[in-house]
Amino acid sequence: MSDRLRTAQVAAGGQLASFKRSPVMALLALLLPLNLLLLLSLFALTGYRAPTGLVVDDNSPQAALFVAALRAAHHSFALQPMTADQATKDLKTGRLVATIQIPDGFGAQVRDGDSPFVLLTVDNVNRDMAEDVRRAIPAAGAIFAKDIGRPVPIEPQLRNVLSHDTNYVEYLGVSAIALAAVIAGATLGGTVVARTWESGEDRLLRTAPSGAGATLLGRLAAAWMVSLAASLITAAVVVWGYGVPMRSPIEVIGTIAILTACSVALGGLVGTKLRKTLLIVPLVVGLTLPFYLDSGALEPQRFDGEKLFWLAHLSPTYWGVGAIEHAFHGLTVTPEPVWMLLAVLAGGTVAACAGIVRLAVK
Amino acid sequence: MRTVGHIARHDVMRWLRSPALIAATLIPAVGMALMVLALTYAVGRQPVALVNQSEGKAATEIAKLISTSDGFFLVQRTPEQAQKDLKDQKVAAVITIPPRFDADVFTGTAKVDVKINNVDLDFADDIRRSVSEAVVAYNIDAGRQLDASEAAERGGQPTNVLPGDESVVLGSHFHTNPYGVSVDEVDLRHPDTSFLAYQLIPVLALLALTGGALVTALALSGERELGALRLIQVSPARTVNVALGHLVGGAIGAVALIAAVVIPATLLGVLHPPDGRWPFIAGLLLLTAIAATALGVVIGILCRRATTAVLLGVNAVAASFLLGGGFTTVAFLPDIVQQAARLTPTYYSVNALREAFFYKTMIGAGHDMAMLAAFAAGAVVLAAVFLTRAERRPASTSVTPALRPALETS
Repeated sequence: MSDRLRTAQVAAGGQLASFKRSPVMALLALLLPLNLLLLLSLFALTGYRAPTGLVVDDNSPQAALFVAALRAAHHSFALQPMTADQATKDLKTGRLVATIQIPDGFGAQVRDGDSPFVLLTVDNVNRDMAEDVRRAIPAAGAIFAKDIGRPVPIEPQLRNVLSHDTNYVEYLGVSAIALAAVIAGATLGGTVVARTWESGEDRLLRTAPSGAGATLLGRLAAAWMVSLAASLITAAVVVWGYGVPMRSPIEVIGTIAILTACSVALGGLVGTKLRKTLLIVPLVVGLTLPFYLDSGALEPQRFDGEKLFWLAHLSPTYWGVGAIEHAFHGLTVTPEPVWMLLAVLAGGTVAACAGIVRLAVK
Repeated sequence: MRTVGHIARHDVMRWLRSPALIAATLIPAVGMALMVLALTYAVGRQPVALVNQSEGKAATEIAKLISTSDGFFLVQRTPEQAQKDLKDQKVAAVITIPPRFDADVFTGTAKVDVKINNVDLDFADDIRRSVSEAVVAYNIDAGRQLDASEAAERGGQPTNVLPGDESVVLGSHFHTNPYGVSVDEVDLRHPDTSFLAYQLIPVLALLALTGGALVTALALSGERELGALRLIQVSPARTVNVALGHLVGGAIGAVALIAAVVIPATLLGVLHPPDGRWPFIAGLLLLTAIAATALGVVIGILCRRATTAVLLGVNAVAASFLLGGGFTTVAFLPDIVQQAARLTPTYYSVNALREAFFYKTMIGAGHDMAMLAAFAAGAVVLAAVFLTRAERRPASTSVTPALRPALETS
């Protein structure tokens, strides 16, 4: 075994012992991605099915059919049956996005060939949700027309590229694992390296026979092990907590390992430049969160426009989200093939490590 | 009062003199604010390719309707180009109007073909709904209504629609439509509040939260690293005054951050609450900042190093912001999450801010303000208790070098 490898091994062991001796930093680095995973999942819960008050003043089969059509209108409504007074109150206090009131005599009018009016009241305080509701109404109308046998001149013929839809929690939960890996890796990698400068060890390390590089890489290897464990715990929460199945467990673990390695190395590179542990966490969080949403975390990134798409390539999260969505669901969410996503992450790891070694001797 | 003033000034000056401390406070807040901004790009319109293979009147009309829908960023493509764009993820769906479209309309069997990249349910459903909206609008009134309603939603005057039908989203008051149901829409406000405006309001609470929590946490952990906390505690100063001093310092930091954003945003017209609401909003933000300092005191006392204080602080701020409704609407979440959200001051702050900015009458804002005041009062008590307990804990043996210049100058 070469001297450098032995040095790196000893440095890794020492760093792991240090994590064990004062575990607060490692525990908090584990807590942060878990925290973000759980809290960002809240967004997925409100991504569709707008809470809608349903007031039905008619007991006819036609009214029941219209309610069924509303339920079938592309996951648009979480219908909550209630009285008119309650609906008005809940709408005005922001507990509902909309209320739908089916009037008395609705069924009789439909049977007579009329098109009776239903009242939709929308709290349009948030245009995104208001628009979802407005667009869902015609979709429900089309379903209703079909159910009651009314012919319409034109119909949309909907076809899907994939055999099944991936729901929002499944998609976003998996992308949050990539966020966890990047935050845990970059935080620990950056802190470990920056602390070397803060404590003044860098001067001593430069006089070591195997140089400062081997020691730093050894410490980063220890940081990688801890952040890999943190990321795998996050993945376990997604798999067993949220019930998201893994298409290929080996691919999942491999992807997380490569993404974490890249994040640790990039964090280490930042730590080498900043040399202040105080700034590592704010910088990692401050950069990673916006880049997370610009990484294909909610939908394939190119759908948000070419500028944001190309900007996303700067972040390891983009490459990680693409690879991990494939590993979990078999989805292709980037134009780049999976091997390229993983190769870029591996290349980024090697380049960042080389940069750290180079900067360490300066 | 002198003790309070001295400690508050000391905390603020230490923060102002250290670029590292300012950066540590500001960067997470800016990151989360940018995340909210990035979210507005991720929702809303989807890129879609339209392939119109027919030159008939009906085909032209429905193509026009689809192209004016605000659910899409539409590009006209040939069939081959559209397939390539779908494969390259330049578009999320391809809408095809087939060559025999007009003839099929005549026989009542026309179809608009929609092929969707359904990699994720959310945007796939957005596309399905938008296509249905356009097709239904054509079937009902050859598209006149959709144009009008799109204009009305943006604050413009509805045009080209029968008087009395302006509010109809399905059907008409004047003739029966083929769907067997008509829907009249009443909006609570006019025009719609944009998604960006809705999402940006919680950022004000975030600034108060970050400023209050992190300035205080960094001040206390810095004093702990230096051992100054013990010196203060053996001084004649009362613990309550020391706690108040830190709270005032944190609140001043938070108010400075809020003012730096709110004043320019108001002058530029980005923030425009209903008349007479500014005093209420200012009070809300101040109480949020004071309540956040309680969090800062706890973090500052618990952590022996500034680095750990930042990490715990960012964890706590992110949790409070996201759980409190910074990224979503808490009222639409499951009950258990709503109960948890009520434990954070941010929940009351975001609720009251949204009500103050967007609602005609403020039904729950008074209650939210009272809850925030309770959190703020609790902050003083909590800070005093924690500072008293901190006396029993040993100081750290090493000082984070990043803090040294700031500590020395102070």
